[in-house]
Amino acid sequence: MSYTSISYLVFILLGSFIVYNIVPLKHRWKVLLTFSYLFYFINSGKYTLFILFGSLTIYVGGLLINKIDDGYNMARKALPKENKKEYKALIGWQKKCICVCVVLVNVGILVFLKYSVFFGQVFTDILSLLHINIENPMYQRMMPLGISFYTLSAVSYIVDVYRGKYRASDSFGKVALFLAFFPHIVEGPIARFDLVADQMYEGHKFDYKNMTMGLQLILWGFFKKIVIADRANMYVNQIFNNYADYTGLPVVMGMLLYTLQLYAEFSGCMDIVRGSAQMFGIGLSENFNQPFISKTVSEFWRRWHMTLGAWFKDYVFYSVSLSKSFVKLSKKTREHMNSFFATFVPMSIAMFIVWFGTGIWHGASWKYVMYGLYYWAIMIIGLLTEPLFKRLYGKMHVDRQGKVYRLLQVVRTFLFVNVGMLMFRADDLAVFGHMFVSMFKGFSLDDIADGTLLGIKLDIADFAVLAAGTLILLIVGLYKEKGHQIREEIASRNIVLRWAVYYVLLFSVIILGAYGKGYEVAGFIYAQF
Amino acid sequence: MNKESKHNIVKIVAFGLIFAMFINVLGVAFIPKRSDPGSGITNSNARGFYGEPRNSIEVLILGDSNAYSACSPMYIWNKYGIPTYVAAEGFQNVTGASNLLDEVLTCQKPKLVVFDVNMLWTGKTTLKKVENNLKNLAYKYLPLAQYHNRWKSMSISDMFGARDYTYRSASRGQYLSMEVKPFMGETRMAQTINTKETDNIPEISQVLLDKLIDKCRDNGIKIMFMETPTAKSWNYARHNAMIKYAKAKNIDFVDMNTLKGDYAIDWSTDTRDGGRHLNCKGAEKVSAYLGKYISENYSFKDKRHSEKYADWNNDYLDYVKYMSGETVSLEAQQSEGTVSNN
Repeated sequence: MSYTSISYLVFILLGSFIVYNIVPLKHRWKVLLTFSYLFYFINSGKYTLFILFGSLTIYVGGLLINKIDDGYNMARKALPKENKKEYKALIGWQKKCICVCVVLVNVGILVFLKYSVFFGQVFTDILSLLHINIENPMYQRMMPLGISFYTLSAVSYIVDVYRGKYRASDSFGKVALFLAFFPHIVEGPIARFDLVADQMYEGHKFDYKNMTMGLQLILWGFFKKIVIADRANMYVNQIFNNYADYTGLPVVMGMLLYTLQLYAEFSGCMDIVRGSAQMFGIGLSENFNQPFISKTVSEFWRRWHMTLGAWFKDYVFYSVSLSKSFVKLSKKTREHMNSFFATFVPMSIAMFIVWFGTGIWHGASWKYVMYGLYYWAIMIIGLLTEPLFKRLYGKMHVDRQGKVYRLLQVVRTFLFVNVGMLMFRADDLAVFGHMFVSMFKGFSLDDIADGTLLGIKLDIADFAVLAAGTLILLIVGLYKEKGHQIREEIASRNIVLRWAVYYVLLFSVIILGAYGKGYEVAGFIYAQF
Repeated sequence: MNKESKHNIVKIVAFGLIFAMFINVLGVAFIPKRSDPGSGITNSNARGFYGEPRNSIEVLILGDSNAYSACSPMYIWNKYGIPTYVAAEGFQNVTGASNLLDEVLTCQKPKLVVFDVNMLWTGKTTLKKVENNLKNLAYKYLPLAQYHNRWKSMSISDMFGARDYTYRSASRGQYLSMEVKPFMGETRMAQTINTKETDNIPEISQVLLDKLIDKCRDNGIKIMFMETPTAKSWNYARHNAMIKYAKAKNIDFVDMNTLKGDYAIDWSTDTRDGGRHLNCKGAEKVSAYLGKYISENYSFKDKRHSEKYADWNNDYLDYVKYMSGETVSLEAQQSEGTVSNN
């Protein structure tokens, strides 16, 4: 059930909204939980047991950590001073065991369901190098809906409880709702318990403003998804599914349109889910913040899929950097290397782990691993060459704060990102290589004039809609970047202007939407992860 | 209720009313004003009944792509003189078929509806079935959603002109194909011949079918069920389910997959796509049996000598030319001049 389907809008969103506002405040979280599990069951059937089991593990694990903490707090005062440290170490070890077990169970399930075929293939490939030929014993299993997303939320919960960021909840319903909440279960944003659980759990009174602002955001999300992303999808599919038939400009356009498609679709989906949550008075985290004005790829990843980047920073980068073995490594590098490399070496290793993880999180194939490492390599090369460029620019008197320089940085980042997107969308690394090279073969602007480009699945009217849609996204993005609260500004205008904007947007979706006869049905890309 | 709440309710209602007004006005503007293939109308071949003389169609076949591939109204016409039309659409569902019946009833008054039951199982999951039916329901009441993409080609006159649905399908809704792509192997029916199991009609389909039956009866139309031959999807579990349902409803059911002798489908010559759909040769076998069954079990007068049906006789001659390979397409002839003259 897609977020843009009639069944989601009518049966899940409208249905839950009506029931939510009818039942007493203290029972409203139960409505959200019921509809979340209904939504999940409709989409995943018996696989609902996986998310239920995941919720149970973090709930029980959290309670056990609470119990250990409570026991320590009670016993602390009675303990002799010399035993306190020893006792603290003991309970620290116990808590760590629980946390590691819960993480291993949840991540283990994800790895087994999502990666067993991939790792099985790697294993058999290694054996074949040793002249032992066996067949991959693993086979592809069905994936429970949103497992890649809710597993990360589950890990964040148990690790935060272990780290003492907050106490574990003693309400199983609250924990279950936190993981399964229907707006964020399919594609995120990856939720943090301390940010959303209370909002979900406490009943919210009907609020006209929340409802209208939520609908406004949903409408904007529909515009991005149905008018822009699904239209670009037609061209993109044609190019990527028949890559051997195209060279030059059509391939470049395919790459650019895929970047547009993924952005419009993923950020559009986030608008729909955040708008859905807002109708209930629940604020979910932002996942995008004008990523295409980034000056570096690091900045891009702080603006693109922000909750994933933040998760890897908090639970992988910090966990690795602050681990005992890493502290030892840093100490050694400080002893044997100059100050630059003493910092660079441990950081690049920690970043390698983060980007390897980010890549493989997207999918079980070398392509995704390389996608992550591609960004790692750019960042590492950037760090290594930074002193060199600094000196070079100094000698050339380049104004690094100037508009032109910053614009060039944005363009450079945009190109890097697009090449990354080409890799992300291509079937495999060999296809990526083929398409990358083919962009430079037979490149000619005549393809625009002679109709070659316009004849590929989309006609000139479709391209005009895409161009107008891109322009609107750009203007809205730049306006927001200047600090304007565009949604509030529209909502505060007089009723004629405000409604005119809404009607134009609404009828743009209905009339210009790429759905029905002549268009392909396009699912959400990130829902497959 | 405080003043602000009242004010908000007024705003919601006003927003809804203005939206309803716009969507209706735009719906009227976006509906194609002609019914020929170039007009933008959905499945013009299935909607050629608009171009037939009023109340001239006596048998209406509702179904999906199996039906429009397997039924030859021209063959039935020539053999039995029963004016038959195939109003079938690819990936059809019961709501879509019911909508099409409503359209037919605006200009025709069929005496018998032959309902191809294959569509009852279309849609992988219950959710998919519900969504497909909802989509067709939305299309019925919100034509703007169905015809929204016409913005690319519409002119002002097309927006506000009068409707002129005069296109007539020379094949009367049949999809004509002489292509042969054999199916090798055992059909799903042959594989399941000994099964006693029933693959019950999906609940959503059954509820909607019940309503369709009621609609036919309310309009004084008899209904019968048929399953057109297909090698890949139909099986005995579904056959058993249909027998049970038809018996309970006291409605005739003919499963063309069980036909023997001259009527039996030869999957090496009678299919155009490896067993999914029949070609014209297969369609003639199905139509021979269907025509015979209808003429024997329902009372229809032979209309071959009626002045009102002169076009049918002319079109049959073209059909013969097509079948003998003399012409490659009936549609080509239609676009060249035989577009309705009623």
